[in-house]
Amino acid sequence: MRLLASLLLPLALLTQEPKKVALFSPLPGNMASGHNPMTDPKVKLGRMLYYEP
Amino acid sequence: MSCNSCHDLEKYGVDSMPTSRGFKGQIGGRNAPTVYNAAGHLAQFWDGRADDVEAQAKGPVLNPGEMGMPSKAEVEYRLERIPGYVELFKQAFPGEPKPVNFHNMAQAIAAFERGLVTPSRFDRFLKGGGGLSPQEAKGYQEFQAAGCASCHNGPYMGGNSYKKLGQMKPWSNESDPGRIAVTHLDKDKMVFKVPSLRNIEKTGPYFHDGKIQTLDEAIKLMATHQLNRNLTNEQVADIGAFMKSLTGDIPKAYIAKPELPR
Ligand code: HEC
Ligand code: HEC
Repeated sequence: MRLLASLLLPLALLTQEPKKVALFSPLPGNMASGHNPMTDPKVKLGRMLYYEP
Repeated sequence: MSCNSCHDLEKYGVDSMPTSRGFKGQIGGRNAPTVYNAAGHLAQFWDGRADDVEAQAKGPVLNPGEMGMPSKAEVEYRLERIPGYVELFKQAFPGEPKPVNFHNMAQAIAAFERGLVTPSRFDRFLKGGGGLSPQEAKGYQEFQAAGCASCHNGPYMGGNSYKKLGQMKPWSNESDPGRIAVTHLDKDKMVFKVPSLRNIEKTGPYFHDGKIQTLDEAIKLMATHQLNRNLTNEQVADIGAFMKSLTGDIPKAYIAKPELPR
């Protein structure tokens, strides 16, 4: 299925108006995930650890 | 050595080196990808060997080629000795009997990384706000017509599939076999995660080995090796112009370096 999609996609691109192809979408506001919620205290700590030498 | 040493948040999340210099100056084998817009990918690293940023964040701290801490216990011991951190772990992981631990360290770093997004003019264009110059708009068409978008698509313009590097014509450097090291399947030889093209203008040098210096050259190589096409210099310039519209705004307030507890 994936293989088929990757073969057909370039064809679709050549034959359709780009704006009709929902290939691209804007970035989300963040990349939150249910299994590790971005709570304020966690993000604050994570930012410090990111910079921790 | 911090995450920021190799993924400098002021510099689009990269170190601008072909491959990174780690703990005690050791040089690793791969180019450091940006941490911006990375948490949304299907998996982490060039070969996808970590499922998500939570799993990924456990690696560098103990990797002798990166931050080189001797053990998880040592990391926990060092954090526990700083009262400010003990308090912050308590607040971040309320109700846990022993909040200061290696797993929670990675969870916190990953939660921070999940906020590292850089919306750009291209997003404003997609939302109907105009904003691409005539040359960028032409480059956008050419990017699609050439077939780049068959791999580089979605909100990150990549990051959502694995593909063979050298799909139509073998890549010149096959010393790093890519994802086969993770899956041990022959079909994954020279297969890599399709990287995001967000901020690509700012994140060179390019490819997993960091061997290609300029974006123009990267575009030409992609056309020949992945699509069996030769682009004219004008097409390359137009596609390059379009790619610059993917350079986003760095979230200055979100990444501001805080005072660290001591
Ligand atoms: C010595 C330099 C160095 C340090 C320090 C370092 N990294 Fe990396 N990072 C790399 C390199 C090189 C890679 C690519 C390795 C690979 O794909 O095999 C990478 C990959 C990543 C990725 C995957 C991105 C993607 O698109 O797949 C993330 C996320 C990341 N690092 C976050 C971090 C965090 C968080 C820290 C601190 C805990 C950190 N890194 C510390 C060099 C470094
Ligand atoms: C068949 C899938 C495929 C197609 C088609 C494709 N790419 Fe790529 N692209 C990849 C993969 C996989 C990589 C990562 C290669 C590696 O391991 O270094 C990549 C890497 C890149 C990079 C370097 C990214 C970085 O961070 O170093 C650029 C730039 C790029 N592609 C642009 C393009 C352009 C422009 C086109 C069209 C001319 C295109 N690609 C077509 C799969 C593809």
